[in-house]
Amino acid sequence: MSIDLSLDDSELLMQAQEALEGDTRAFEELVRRHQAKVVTNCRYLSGSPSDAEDLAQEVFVKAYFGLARFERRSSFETWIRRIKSNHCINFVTKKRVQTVDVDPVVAENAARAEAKAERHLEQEDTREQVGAVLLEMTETLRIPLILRDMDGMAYEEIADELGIGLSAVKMRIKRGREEFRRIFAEQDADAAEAAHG
Amino acid sequence: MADDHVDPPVEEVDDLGEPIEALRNYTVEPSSSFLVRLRNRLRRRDLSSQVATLSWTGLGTVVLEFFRMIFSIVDPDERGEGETD
Repeated sequence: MSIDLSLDDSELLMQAQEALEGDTRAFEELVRRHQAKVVTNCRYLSGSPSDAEDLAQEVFVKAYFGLARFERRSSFETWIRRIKSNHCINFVTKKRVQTVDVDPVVAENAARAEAKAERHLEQEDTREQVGAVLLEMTETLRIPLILRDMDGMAYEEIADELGIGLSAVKMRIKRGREEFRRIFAEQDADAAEAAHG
Repeated sequence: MADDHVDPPVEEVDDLGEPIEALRNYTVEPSSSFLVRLRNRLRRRDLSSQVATLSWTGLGTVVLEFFRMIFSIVDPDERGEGETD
């Protein structure tokens, strides 16, 4: 028997929870519906395109093995979003600890150079430019911006997730938007210059 | 006159607009093998947890049988009813 694709997330979730051991069809349909959003978020939360799919897979694996404990008090989307932001922020924190010995200025310059190279590859249209801009932003401003403007999380949730105060979250998001607009405009100017010159 | 004036809450209304708005619906499609790799990963994890459960059960049974054997040596009178030498 196949999965009824007209079912909504909550019905699929119920089927996934009630499925026999090893039957992942309902869960796979949920993954199919949410994979693009989760992969995108993992890509920009971690700032590491090469790790994005692995991170997203780990998020779905955690969700699958947590299905039995999930009480359906929130939607699947909200639940997976929480798992994903926790997982990606832990990844970023661990990565930061591992690279603490590297001179921060050197690391920042290297990251920017890498992002700039990526930017030239990705700068094909506005949609891809968005991704390139995100990768060029500083981590401190990028993460709150993604959680708010890409993921739609509430300020309070972001504050909890990042372990910082509400006013700090608001400030970072405001500055993040400014930085995003600035880099976006710079890239536009670069592209215009390249087109004319 | 009563002071009816209430300070508006600190910026809760998001000042979006382009290009920030583009973030809302921005997605990157995963590779075509994403779901297959995930399925394999789930199967591997499932299998390893089954093996782990089986190993613990096996170990538990061996320990239990070991103690039963010890008790039957220490206290040979404790035998099932109807058991004779």
